[in-house]
Amino acid sequence: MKKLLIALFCLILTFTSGCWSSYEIEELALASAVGVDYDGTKYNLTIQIIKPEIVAEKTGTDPVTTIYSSGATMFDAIRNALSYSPKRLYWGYLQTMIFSERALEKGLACLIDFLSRNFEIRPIIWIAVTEKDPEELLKAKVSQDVPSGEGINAMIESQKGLSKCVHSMLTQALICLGNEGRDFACALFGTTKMEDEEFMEIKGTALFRGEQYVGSIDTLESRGLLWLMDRIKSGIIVLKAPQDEKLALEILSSKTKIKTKVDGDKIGFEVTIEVVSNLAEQTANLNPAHPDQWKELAEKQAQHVKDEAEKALRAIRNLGTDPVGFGKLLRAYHPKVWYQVRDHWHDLLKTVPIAINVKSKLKSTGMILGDVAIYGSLE
Amino acid sequence: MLRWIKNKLDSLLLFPQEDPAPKLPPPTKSLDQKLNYIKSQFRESPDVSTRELRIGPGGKTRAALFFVEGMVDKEALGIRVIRPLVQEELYKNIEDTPLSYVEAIAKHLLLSVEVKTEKKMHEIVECVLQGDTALFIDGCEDALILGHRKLQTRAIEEPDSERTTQGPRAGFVEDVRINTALLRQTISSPNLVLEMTTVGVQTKTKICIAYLKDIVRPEIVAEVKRRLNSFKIDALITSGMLTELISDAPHSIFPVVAYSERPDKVASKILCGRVAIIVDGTPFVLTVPHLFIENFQVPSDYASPWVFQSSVRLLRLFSFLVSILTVPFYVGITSFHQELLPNKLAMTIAAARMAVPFSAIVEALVLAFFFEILREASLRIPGVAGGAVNIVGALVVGEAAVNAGIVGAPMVIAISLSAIANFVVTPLAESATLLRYVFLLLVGFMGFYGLAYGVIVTTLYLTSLYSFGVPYLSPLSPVIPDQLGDTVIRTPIWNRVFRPRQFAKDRKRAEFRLTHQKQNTKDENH
Repeated sequence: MKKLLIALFCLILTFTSGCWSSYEIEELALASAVGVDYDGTKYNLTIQIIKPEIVAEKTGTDPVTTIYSSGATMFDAIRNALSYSPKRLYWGYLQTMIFSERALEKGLACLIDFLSRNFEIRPIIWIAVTEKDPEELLKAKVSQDVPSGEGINAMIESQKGLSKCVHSMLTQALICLGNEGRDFACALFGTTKMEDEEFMEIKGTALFRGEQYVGSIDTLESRGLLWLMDRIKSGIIVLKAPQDEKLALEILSSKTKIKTKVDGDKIGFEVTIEVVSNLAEQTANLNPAHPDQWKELAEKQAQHVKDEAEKALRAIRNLGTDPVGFGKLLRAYHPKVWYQVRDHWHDLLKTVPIAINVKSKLKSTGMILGDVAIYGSLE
Repeated sequence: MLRWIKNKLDSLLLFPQEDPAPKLPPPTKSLDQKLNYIKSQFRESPDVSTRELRIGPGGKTRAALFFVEGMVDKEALGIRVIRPLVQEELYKNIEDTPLSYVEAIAKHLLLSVEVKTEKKMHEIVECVLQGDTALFIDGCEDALILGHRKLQTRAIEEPDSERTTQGPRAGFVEDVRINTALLRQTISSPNLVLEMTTVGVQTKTKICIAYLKDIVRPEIVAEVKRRLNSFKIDALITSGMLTELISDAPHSIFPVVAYSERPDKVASKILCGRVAIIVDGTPFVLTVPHLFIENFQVPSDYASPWVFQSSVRLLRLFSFLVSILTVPFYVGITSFHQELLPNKLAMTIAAARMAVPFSAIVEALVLAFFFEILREASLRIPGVAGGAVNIVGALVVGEAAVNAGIVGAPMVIAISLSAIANFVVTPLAESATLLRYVFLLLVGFMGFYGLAYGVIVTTLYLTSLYSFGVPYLSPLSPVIPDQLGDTVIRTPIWNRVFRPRQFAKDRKRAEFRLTHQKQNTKDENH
């Protein structure tokens, strides 16, 4: 009998646990995107809540409800949002967090601390910056009537084929802020007017030094930065032909290696970019079958890539930031040197010699060889 | 205390009932006395008849046939018994025989195949009630029992419960004798033992224990016999009742005794060293010991090459899990762990559940309960009306309930999926249904913690089960390496050399010298 009681007691112990709080999925307000602004005293949040019936059934036009709230800190503001939402706000499906430049004045850390602490928010949400009012940005149209959060997600995914900006998630922000030697960079969003309607657009890359926002670069410079960061997946290189003809290459793959060169007090870096591409478009009467012309084309490509990378390098040197992570490499390979220079690294980077070499390779010409016009005339 | 309850329940279930003490006449030579007893005993039963005869030279001796109408072959009785008995000239043959009168008649006169002598009146009555005919001769103590049965039995058909694409189409019938014959046809070995016994005070049901005496472990046969003798029950109508009486774990939700309607399946189990129990009146033959993995093995597994059949075996295992876990998993995800859903699926589910007034657990229980009613109704309903139930059920649940917003479409999908998957592993269908509800309640209260809890407890429970002393989960747990070839996947036949050591004494099943396999590959290379 005593044994039975003990067994029963143990059994009850296992039953007194359980999973935390049951909420039916339809009772949750699923936040999709949040815009954060700061007006000097409090954070103003624009929260887009998905209307699942519209998203799932693809009917109706406005897939989101927007609510606004404000508070002294991020958590305060998020909690205050509850007074505007009849349902419990659920952050598991949050996809994008957009900060205005004003919100970043007090630093990135106080914005993302709550986001990384909270268990509901996924660390894979996109962090983006806007020069505009985030409220206006979230009001701007995204194609196909999807919620802005999902729209931004789709835009970032599709820009990977164009290499227009350095995109970053919450995890990358945490890694950059928590470690020395590499600065955080993320997508910069803005709007553009098409047929009297504001559309969302990727404007470039927002750059940070530590947790401080220092400025932004445009999409072209962003690609240069991506060359340096070894993050080019795909893209188009438009080359200048002798006359005004068009000549475009499609990047197939690229690989960037950075070597540190430390000689006593002298610090230097050697960047080697390997790029392989296809001839995608030409009306320059180029004969790819001719080895010289083919070689020349490859050289032109190398020069173009080098120009882009150097342009980006100038831009980040001007802003005094190190999103490529030169400092991180130095820290990894020459820790003693790093500890000597870490306090004035951003100033030092402006003068450190960085050599950029490009190994360029062309692979194929696509389905046809030479110029379309010539083949036409031959027949 | 539990034991006290158990004993109490046992005593309620198995009331030991003595024979209703009929006033049996002592062995007597008087025919009248015997006939009087029969007439008084079966006064209300006109189907139990007697036929009086005058036999012997000059018709001087009185005799009587005692049989049950409808159970005997009257034509054969007339030609093979009555005609020789009344032909006076035949009695010359037995005038100077040293045998007793009864034995002489049996040996020299009667044309019956089955003849035996019996003295005890209750034994005679028992035989007659089972279809034999008794011949009483005045002045003789012994009676002759003649086997002229004409039992009502159906033809051997393909069993509906276990269909197979390839393989024999025969199925067991209700008559134990035909069933044993079917087994003998498959296993023509003198080692095949078919031991007969009877169970049931009123029904006197014949039970046959079949096994291969050189292969099976004798202690398992002894255990089967011991268990069959361990109870006294008034009636044994189906083999299912026996299952409960002889199983190691009568409260188990998993079957620890297997049943099959297919002679080929039972024969192959006997050949593995199992013991089969054939119960008269039921086409379902029991086999013990039963292992968990047997529930996933079907005859068609062995009908085509092993690669495809292994994938089907995996599918069957997966279906078992699907049938138990789909609904609890869905409920857990929608009401506890929404973060596990991909974004788009979350939107779809949230949209579908928008109008549903109940929480997911209530919705699941209501819908599953409705499905069980539907299933039970369609089993019981006469064939003609069955279609109507299906149409109404499908329309009401599938269409109207979703359209009216009483249940969400994803829940209907989850319930139907688990219901369909349930029919893939038929022997475990009942277990899976029970487990599904238990897991559903656990998930409803505790989320995935409850589900994990349920799965762990169920696994522990499975490992604690035994079937006739053999661990239920073997050869998976405890692991028996040479038996793993026919578990999760089915390896080729030449890979399975040994019989299960859990119950087979003679372990070597086969020997392979398949040299042609290598030769073939060589030929291809050249």
